[in-house]
Amino acid sequence: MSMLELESVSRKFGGLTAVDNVSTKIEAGSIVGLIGPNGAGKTTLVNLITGVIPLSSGKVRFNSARIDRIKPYHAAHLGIARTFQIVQPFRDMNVVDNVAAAVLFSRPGYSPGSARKAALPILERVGLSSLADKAASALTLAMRKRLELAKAIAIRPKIVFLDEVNAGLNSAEIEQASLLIQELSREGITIVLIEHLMKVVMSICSRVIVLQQGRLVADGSPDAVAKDPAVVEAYLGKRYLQGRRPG
Amino acid sequence: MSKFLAIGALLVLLVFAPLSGDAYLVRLGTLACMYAVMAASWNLIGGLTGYPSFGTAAFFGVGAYTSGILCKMGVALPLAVLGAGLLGVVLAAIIGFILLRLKGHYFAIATLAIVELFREVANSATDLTGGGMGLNIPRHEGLGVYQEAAIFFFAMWALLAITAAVCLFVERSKIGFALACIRQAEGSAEMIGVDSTFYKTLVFALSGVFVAMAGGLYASWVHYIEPGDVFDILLTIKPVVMALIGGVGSTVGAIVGAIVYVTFEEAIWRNYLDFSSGIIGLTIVGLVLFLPRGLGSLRLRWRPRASTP
Amino acid sequence: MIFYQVLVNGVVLGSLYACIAVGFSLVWGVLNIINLMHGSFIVLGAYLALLAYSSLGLAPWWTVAVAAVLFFGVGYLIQRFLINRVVAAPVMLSLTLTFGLDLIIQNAMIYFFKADYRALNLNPALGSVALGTVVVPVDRLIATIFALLLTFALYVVLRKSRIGRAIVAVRVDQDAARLLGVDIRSIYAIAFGIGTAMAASAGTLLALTFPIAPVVSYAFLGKAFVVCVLGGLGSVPGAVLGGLLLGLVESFGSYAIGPEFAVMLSFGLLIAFLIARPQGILGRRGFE
Repeated sequence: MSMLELESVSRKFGGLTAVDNVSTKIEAGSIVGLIGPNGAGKTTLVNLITGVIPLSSGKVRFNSARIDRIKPYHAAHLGIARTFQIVQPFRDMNVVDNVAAAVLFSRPGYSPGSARKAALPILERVGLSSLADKAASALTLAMRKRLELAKAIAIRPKIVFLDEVNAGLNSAEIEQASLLIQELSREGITIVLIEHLMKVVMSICSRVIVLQQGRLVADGSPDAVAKDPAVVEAYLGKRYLQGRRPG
Repeated sequence: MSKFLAIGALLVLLVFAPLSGDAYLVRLGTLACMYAVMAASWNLIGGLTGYPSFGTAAFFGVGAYTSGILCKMGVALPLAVLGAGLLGVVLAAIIGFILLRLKGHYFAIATLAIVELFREVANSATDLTGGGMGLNIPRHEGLGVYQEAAIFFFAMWALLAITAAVCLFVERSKIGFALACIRQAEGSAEMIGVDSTFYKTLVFALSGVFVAMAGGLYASWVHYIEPGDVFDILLTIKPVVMALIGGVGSTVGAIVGAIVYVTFEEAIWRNYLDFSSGIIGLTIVGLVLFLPRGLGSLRLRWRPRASTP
Repeated sequence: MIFYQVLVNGVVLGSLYACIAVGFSLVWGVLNIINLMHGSFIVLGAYLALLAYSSLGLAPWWTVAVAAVLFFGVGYLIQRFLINRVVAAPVMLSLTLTFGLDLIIQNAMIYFFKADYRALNLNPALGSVALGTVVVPVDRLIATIFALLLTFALYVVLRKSRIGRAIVAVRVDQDAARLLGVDIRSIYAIAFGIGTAMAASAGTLLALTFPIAPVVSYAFLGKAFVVCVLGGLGSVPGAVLGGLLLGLVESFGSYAIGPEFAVMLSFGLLIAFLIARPQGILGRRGFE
């Protein structure tokens, strides 16, 4: 039994099919890359799984339970976390409170005070302790991304969807983020990484899923996927592919 | 702690009105308490949660008519006011559940439309509400003018005390934390486990109950209400301006703002009647353009920067 | 048959509503500002028509041009120096600002024109015209025709002129427009000016068909809201569709259940649309 099962998941917006009949299984403990060109439906898929938007058809199972119709806060309580491509910190609060909020509302038995205490070790983990009192709006982009990650970890997730965590970061910051992700994986958190950077995907993912125009076009190890003609076509177009075909 | 002290101080200050023995001051004090209830209530949904509600007038009117009708049927005032509160909270929960999925301008207009709708309903349900001819609420026999004024003052004052206590509790509790998260980044709040629908509806209901009770007291206080009086958009806008004066997001600010505004408006009214609405308008414009964070921000201008943000 | 009379009444009313609302819709769609002064500008236009007729004998359809030019300037200035400062501010702030400004205008109107209702009665009266079994007052008919012409003129301006297309560009995607070199502040001011001009022009025409008093501005504002939500923001076709829908609903509702309930019906429709389809019939999601 896989942790997360998608069965013929689809989502239509009027005439546009953003996610088209996607079926796949994600096992616990893996780091899975979710790639595809812009507009492929990656973020939409995450929105469907976490309940931000409803499915048009299909089923989603999390640890065997159907979660097609849940709301996002419920997904959080079940242990499904996600970060946003455009980070959404609680701007007027400081860093501690941002993470404390995650502790407070995802687990029972906390008060604002005790949640703040519980937030400190999490800040330590992601390296934000020195910025604990700063307003979230005053952080640099890289730090805001870390804060976003800290909030995701704070809900003690079983699975985390990281949506373009590396966008806008320099190589050193990307390196640090990748190390952190691998650490989290070693602790048993399943990670799904939506990424554009092939370097990152190749180095830390054990499996790669490729979406194109809402459809799942490839699924396998990073090496296999990189050589898959369908994937090359998805990114570079039919004509490039035709140019490269032997004979 | 300091917030409680501030509220306590304000309440004590207000109590001086009836001690003056002047019926006019007592009435002014009652009005200040009433608007303070409305401003603090609006602040819950508009300031803390960031949902710009025009609904204050709707709850006020519903409370006024509920209590008024109950009083006409012979129910004692305290019970009538409680009845008003009950209907207010139920309606607010229902309306909130339906409308709180809207955001920004659309939410504002929807709540505005509710006020208009309720006013038209009150206008048409002539058998129940007296329609356009208004509703007469019986006076209490055997009370002198000053006594009556004092009783209504203390009733409104007590309502303010309760409202302030509840609002302060909300501000400082887990609920307030949730509302702050919803206001600043609702999507993110949901993602960390905040059931935003629940919290929004809860606070919207809270924002309605005390306003409805204030309306209920108002009806008996003035003895005659018309749909246009109690379902008046100004009854929403003024509390918003008051919250603006004191600093949006703060219960203490809302109450201070109410007292300041009521005093100011009264002064203008007495001296410049013909231009009173224009002057109020000018003040509102000045406030929004130059002091959107309230009078408190004036102080900040003079302080040196403590640390770079 | 009475059906056709009610239908025609609805279309006539709807066209006037469309003209009232189109300026309001433009400002809301382009600047994301709800201009609570809109109703007052309509009434000011009506007063202008009254003045022009009583002192110069000018019929309202000539005053329209004057109203348009004059109030374009007024709107432009108000936006440039006042509204522009709250364009990016939270909703309640901009609403409160325009409300405060409206209070000032209302006070001025009551002071200068007094609160009583006035009417513009043409002398000699134009009577009514009969189209089959349907009777339409001539002045209302003329007002409707001019209202539709005005609305159509705006449509052409938005579609064909450079400024108009810049305005539409800003409405559709502000950042892209800015990258293409459009001066957003200038466009805002122009769009607001157009909105005010349309309001005043509509007002001069409406002087023929509705009684005028400062307080009437709120009724017009209410109609504008409903039209925008029904039809969708920022587009002329949206305003026309929304206006016609509202006019027909009110006309048939008035006939079927009585005039007071017609108003309730329109607000009920507003709420229903806000819940089910807030972007209106023709609108696109995104503007809150």
